Amino acid sequence: MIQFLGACQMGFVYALLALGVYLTFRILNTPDLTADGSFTLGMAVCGVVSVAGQPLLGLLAAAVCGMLAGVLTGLMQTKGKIHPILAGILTMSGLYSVNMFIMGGTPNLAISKTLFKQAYALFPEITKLQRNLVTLGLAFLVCALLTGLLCWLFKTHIGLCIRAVGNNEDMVRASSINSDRVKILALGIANAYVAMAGAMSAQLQGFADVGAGIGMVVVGIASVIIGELLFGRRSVTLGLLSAVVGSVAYRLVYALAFSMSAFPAYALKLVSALIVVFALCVPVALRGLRRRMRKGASHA
Amino acid sequence: MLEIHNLHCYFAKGTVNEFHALRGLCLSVADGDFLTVVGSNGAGKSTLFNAICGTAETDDGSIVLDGQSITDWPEHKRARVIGRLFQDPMKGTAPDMTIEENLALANARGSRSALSRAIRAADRALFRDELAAYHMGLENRMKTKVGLLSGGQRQAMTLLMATIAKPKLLLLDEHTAALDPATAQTVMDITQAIVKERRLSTLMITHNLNQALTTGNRTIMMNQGQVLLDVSGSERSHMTIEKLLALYTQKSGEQFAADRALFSAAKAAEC
Repeated sequence: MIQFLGACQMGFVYALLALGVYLTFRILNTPDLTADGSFTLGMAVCGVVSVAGQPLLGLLAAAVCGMLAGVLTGLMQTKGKIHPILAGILTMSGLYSVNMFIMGGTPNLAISKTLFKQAYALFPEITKLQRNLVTLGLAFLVCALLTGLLCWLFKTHIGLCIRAVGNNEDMVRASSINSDRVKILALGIANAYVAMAGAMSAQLQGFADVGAGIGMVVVGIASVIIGELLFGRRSVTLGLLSAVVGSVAYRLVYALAFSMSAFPAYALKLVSALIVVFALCVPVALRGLRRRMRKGASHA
Repeated sequence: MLEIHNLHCYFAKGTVNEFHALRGLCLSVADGDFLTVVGSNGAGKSTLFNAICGTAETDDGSIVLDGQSITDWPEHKRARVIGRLFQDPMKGTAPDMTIEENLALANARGSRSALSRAIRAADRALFRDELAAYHMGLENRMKTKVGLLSGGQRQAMTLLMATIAKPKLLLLDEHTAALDPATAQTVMDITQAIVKERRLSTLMITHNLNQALTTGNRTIMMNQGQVLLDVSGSERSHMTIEKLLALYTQKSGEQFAADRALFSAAKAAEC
């Protein structure tokens, strides 16, 4: 039971990562590698502010710092004309040092005061199971609020602009919209979400770790793909919800596989990478196979 | 309305591949003028359009639209007052977004506040009315993704997107060339109706010399980055394709070299 709850907690926390990745990977149509750095950035910033006694402020500070990281990548892409993938790698790479600096030069930081512990304090004499339920409730609440915010954003004019930039940039400029500015903003928002995922996960596990962000883009894309497997690809609102569900489903399946000792916990990133590779390759392979079968039929 | 003075545009300036695309081009367009633009390949027609829109950087000269110098404006700022259509129907619309979403973006033209609702009921009513005038049935498919429409339907939509926010100038770059003849005619009819109704100053590039002489009220012929011929009024109404080609040869000292234009001229002669 507790294992199941734990997987759901992780699912909702990492759903914020999936939302950020969905925004760049699916809506802007360019995978943004900044996420690996901004995830840890969120962790580090939130960790330091939480240690100072303000976990909620830590979450907000993480969002602001994540946004700045995204804006930096966006500026490199648009004003500096750097290839989007390289721009992301540059920010991510630079952020490693920044994150170490924020954490005071140590690779780990223990956080004694978290949002979750503050929530437990509201209920005296709480059992372990109840504590897990409170954790799940809080993770769900934060995730639901932030998902709702993003759904609303994509109903507004600026949301429409962001979608159009990923779809046909020429058309956006022809509609008198500064496409550079829209792209920078979108990358900022995406990385704010990724950083909040880092912040929430630091609070959930009670420590910040400088290596925690490695492979986060791939984990995020895997969640998005699993969500699409369940829901299909339709509207943006449904896409955002499917990213959240995908993240939770991924954690549940993973926890199940882990409990059956199918593979160790550290296999998460390999599994994520394989899921993404399969999801991207299978449709292409199927198309090739179908073409070859048609050719075979016409020869016969 | 539009005053272009001594416009110069180079490609790959300072390299062995340097190309002087616009060579001191001057052009004056009056309010409500409908110009057709012809010229052989490489004459600088599309470059002229790119220069007006801000897609191509100019090296010298000035562009004044409605008394305002737009020479140093970025592309997206010019788009507020200039509508443009390309030959490729895919270029003007976002395929994964619905008809109403595409129209909403075009209609906002940078004037709507970022966090306001993207599509209001009043917008929908406006789009429906505008689309109904095209008789393509698009008004009943507002939630259809634009990628599912045919080339002609997409081009008609792009035309509406380019004009819905009432631009001062409309630029049409062979916008019917990629369509089949019947669809091309439909789109052309819609174009003329819109231009007339909104009294838009319009420039249209075409390779069809017959169309060039029968559409609009003025025809310019470009050669080597300059305006070679400029005919309007009674001179234009008495102009034939043969006379136009003869005039071109006489002024430029070369044959009009655009296979498509000659092909369409031959077809027109047959009729």
